[in-house]
Amino acid sequence: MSSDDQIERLLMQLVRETSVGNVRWSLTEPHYFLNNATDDLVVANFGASYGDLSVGVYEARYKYWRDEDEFYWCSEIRFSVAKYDSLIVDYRKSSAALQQLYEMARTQVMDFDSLLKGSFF
Amino acid sequence: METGSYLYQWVVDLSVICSILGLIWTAVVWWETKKIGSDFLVRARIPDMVKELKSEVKSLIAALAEWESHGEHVKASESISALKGILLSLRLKVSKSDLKQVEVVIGMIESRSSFHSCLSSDESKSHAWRLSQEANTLAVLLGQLEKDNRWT
Repeated sequence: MSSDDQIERLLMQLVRETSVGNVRWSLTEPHYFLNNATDDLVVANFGASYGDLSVGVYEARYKYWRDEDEFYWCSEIRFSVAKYDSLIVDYRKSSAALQQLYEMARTQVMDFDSLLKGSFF
Repeated sequence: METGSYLYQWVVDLSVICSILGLIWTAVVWWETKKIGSDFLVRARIPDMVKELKSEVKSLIAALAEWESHGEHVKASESISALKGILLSLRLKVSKSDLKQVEVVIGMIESRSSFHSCLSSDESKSHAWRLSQEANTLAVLLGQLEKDNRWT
């Protein structure tokens, strides 16, 4: 089993745990090295603690270099794992599980259920 | 020259041999072009199909999350059926090495439909999670393949 495969499994597990309600996501500061010493910018970072790891899904804007001096901005959803404040995983393959996890974390943070008033319309 | 021909007999023989070789060569070229043609068709179709597969897997995972939190399993079943359709079409297009993973997922879907009714809801649910996990792996795998194709 490759390490990518293991991370995909972890992502699926997180999706399931989130849907059950075992993992609580909140808006947190991204890890220092996710937006320092790099050109990438972090739009939003949703973090949660999972066991003794702190996991995070975030949207990054990065420069896609077409040529030596020509680039445009792209957006990507990524996954990070930190342990004892060290960044140990920065996963950048936007798989279906990762996309779904990001959406669920966002929905949880937005808390639509309490935001949308059923009686308003 | 008693046959009335202007050419020597050996020239005629040579040309007959050449035309037979030419026929064989034509067959080889025809076969090769056909192969290249179908290869290109697959390459042109795969990125599209991978995109479709990925969005279907995503909606399956979303449906499963909903099943987990709201106990609603109709969407998940629908999503699995749709996924099967995509996979059956994909089965004819992918290379041998990826075919294995496609077959794994199809096998899981088929085993599901045959004994779905006798499973308890919990078992059925965790089977569906395992299934979506394999489908997700497949989508990632094919996504990589698409990147490989770009450079060949």
